[in-house]
Amino acid sequence: MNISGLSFNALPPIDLPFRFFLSGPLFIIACALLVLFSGEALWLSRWQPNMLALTHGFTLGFLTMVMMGALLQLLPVIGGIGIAKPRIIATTSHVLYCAGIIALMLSFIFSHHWLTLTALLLLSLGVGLYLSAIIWVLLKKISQGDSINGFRLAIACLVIVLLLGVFLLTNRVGITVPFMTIDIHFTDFHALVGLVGWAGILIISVSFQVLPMFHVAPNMPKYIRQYLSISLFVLLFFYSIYAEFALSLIFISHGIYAVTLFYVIGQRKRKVADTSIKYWQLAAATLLLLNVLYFLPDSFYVPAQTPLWMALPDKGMLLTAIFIYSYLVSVIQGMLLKILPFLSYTHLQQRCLIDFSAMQYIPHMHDFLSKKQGMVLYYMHILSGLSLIAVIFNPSLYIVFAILLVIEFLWLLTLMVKCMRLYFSVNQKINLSNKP
Amino acid sequence: MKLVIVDVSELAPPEPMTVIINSLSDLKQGDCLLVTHRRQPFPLYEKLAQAGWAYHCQAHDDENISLYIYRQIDLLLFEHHFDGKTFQESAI
Repeated sequence: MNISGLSFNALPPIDLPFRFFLSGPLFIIACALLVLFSGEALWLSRWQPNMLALTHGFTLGFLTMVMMGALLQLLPVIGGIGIAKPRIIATTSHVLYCAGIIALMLSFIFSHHWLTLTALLLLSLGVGLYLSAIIWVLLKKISQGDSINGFRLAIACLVIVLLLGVFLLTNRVGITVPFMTIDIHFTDFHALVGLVGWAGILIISVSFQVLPMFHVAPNMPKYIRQYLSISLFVLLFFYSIYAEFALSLIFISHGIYAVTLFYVIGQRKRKVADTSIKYWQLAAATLLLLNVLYFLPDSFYVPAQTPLWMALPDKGMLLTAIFIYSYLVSVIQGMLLKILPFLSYTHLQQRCLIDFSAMQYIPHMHDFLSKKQGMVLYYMHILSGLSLIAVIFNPSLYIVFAILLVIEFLWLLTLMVKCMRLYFSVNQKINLSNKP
Repeated sequence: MKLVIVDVSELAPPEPMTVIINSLSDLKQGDCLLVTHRRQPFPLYEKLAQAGWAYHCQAHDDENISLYIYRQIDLLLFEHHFDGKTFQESAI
């Protein structure tokens, strides 16, 4: 009979995940300024130094940043165990990680060896520290759900991405590893494991939990929960041998996941209008669109042969941009709209177990983040997503994309700050009421 | 020991926690709260223990758990009513 704290852990202090969340929009705003000052040339190739800075600003500065913060909370909620010494580990890894991303982005832009070395050191230490704390939890005998198994695969992918990134950076400063060929295929593998393995598998695994939990939806079918993440993980390694074949199956797997998402969302018991659900639907529709774009004949992408009134732009850039912005960023934003008010509310609510009278101070969930504020963010995200596609077709529109990006992520930052301020003011009220 | 039963399995967060807290605040001395839920509320456990509550969780399957919550001072009383599997309002 469990009576006291034996094999579990409470939620880590709220300011720890929040510092990761708050940093995310700041990096996107920095990316928007980079888009603004880089001009049309940025969109000519994925190898443009500023484009490398931009993609890493998005993927490390926003996507990975928010996911790192969310995992701190998700592990105790789903697995029953959180990381050890959360304050010192989260604070140190966050500082090193933020400084590392800034150094990395600057190293791409200015191409200085000392900046690359600084980025290498800071990112290895920051991500390494965070990963070791998370791996310590995932190696334990925690709740053996499908989500936790997915987390393990996603974290394994993050380890691989980090190692590949270290090789790529050391190669930039002239240190070569004899048995490794650093070529375009190597970089593609780095990007694919990061986007599909780390971010993709993590999102899929999180969806197995959050859709039934937050939206009272039925569980995803058992075969999807058991085999989707591991199939994607295996396909990533097939990619190094049969690239095209593996990539086709990766797209099809995401298509199946998208159909399942639509099905599960449609089966909810309480079909209340919800912005997070709209984000999941947008993400699912994006995955289906990506399948169409991927399997279109190559002639659609060649100006002289296209049956359309104009050829589609560079396939790699178009698919990657849509995958990152309309799929990954959409899901993360939708999740933030749920997590921000929920975490604030639940941390305050747990204080009421000691003093029931404190319930009177807790505001309504919607006071932390209203439905209307969430919907404004959603429409801003659709607009900026369309402007991103427009820029890939016509790079001269970059100013529109940059401005929409700044507005959207300033709004997200405002919502986060508002939510945090309300949390701390109510927390303070409860503290004062407890004083004799 | 009287059993007060609440079913939060079809509620979206944070409603389950609200129902649990409200039920605990109304729970009479010597009574026990039985919460039926779809998942274990892991982060709640440590807070319950800190606040002087004891609990026992029965995980029936992946989507069905029973959580008994009572005051720590009522531990012996609870053990008189609970045989490890079922709760009986008249002492065993």
